[in-house]
Amino acid sequence: MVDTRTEGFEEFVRSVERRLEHALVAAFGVDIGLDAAAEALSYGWQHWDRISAMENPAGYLYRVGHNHASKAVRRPTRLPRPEQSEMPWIEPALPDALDNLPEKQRVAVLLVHTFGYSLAEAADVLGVAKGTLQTHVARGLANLRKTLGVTNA
Amino acid sequence: MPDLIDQLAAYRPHIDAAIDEAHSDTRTIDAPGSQPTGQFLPASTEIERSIDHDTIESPVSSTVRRLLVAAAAAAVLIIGVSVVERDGSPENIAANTPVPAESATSSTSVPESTTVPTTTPVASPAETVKAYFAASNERDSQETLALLDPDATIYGHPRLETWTAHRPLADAAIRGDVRAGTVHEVTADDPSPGASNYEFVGTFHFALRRTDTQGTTCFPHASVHVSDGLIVNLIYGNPALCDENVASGLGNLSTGGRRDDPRVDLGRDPAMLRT
Repeated sequence: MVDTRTEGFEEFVRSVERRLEHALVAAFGVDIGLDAAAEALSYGWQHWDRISAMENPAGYLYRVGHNHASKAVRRPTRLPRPEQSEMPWIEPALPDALDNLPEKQRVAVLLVHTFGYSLAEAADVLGVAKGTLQTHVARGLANLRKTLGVTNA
Repeated sequence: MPDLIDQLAAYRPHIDAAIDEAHSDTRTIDAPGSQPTGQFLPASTEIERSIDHDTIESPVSSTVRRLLVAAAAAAVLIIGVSVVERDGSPENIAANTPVPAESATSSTSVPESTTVPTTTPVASPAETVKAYFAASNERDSQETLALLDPDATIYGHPRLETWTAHRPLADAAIRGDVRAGTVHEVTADDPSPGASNYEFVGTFHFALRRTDTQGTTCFPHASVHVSDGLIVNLIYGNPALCDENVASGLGNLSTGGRRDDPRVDLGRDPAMLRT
């Protein structure tokens, strides 16, 4: 027997869980990002009555996860490194360049261009305006091109 | 070089694979008292098994259960009493760490409360136990965990950085005010650094450095995570198994020679610990 509260939360989880994980992994790396996502969703369940009434529950829980990870992280973010033999088409310097981006730019670029979310979806989970996210994406791409010496648009 | 946008898109499968791999994190599962089997099961399986289903008062869906288990894995309570000297060898650590008198007794005198009673009150949603990790600083906390954790396969390794030091408890433990099997309550009012982000209410068991009947130091410890209708009872090392763990090599991490990288998944290859 599952009550309506639980059903509502489950539906919410189905719609945002992976996106929340992607956003927090982009911000903090895989291990800390996933821990933060688990913490955020657990918090979401515990406070669902309040959070479900919010305009943007996903964005709120991203902040919950972000705060959780921020208090614990004492090292720079390190994204997974592909083996060159497995993915030779990926520029070896790309992960380093992404790691070194300012966090907001890295998260924006990864959500939109790596994980393939629309600007609206990415802005929603981050709890920011679409225009703000677009600015982060543009600046992030510009920084990456500069770092990697890429000139094409 | 392919276009940057194409490269970014091509990066996704690798990150997703890393996420999926992290979700299926593994640890060694051995029945109490048995010799290590080296069998690998998902970490969440162990936690799931340890859930006391009789204490669940409200219907909890599989999704919620999975989330709470994941959060428990991410926020495991481990309280340690061992202080690792920055430049200390394992031997120095053993020599320098104060051992409360009770801990030096034979492991046959097991503290009465080595598991969390099933009658532990179910916490309200606001009374969620979160993680602490007691140690003097980050570096030491990592090393201390490797020493404290007889299995050393617990979600620790790369995630150690997410655990928060809880100095008052660590200090109390170092003073010998905390004993294995004793109960200590931490309230939401606890002013300790790192506590502000959490609501600290719960009943915890503490790790304790002790010497077993063979004269070998081992580190039995236990913890409990209580969350919204679920009691996730996590037992990491049992004083009763101290001798067995030491005998099998699993508990004797202080001579395992792996202190340089405590994030190594010690438990995944028990044979390496026997040297």
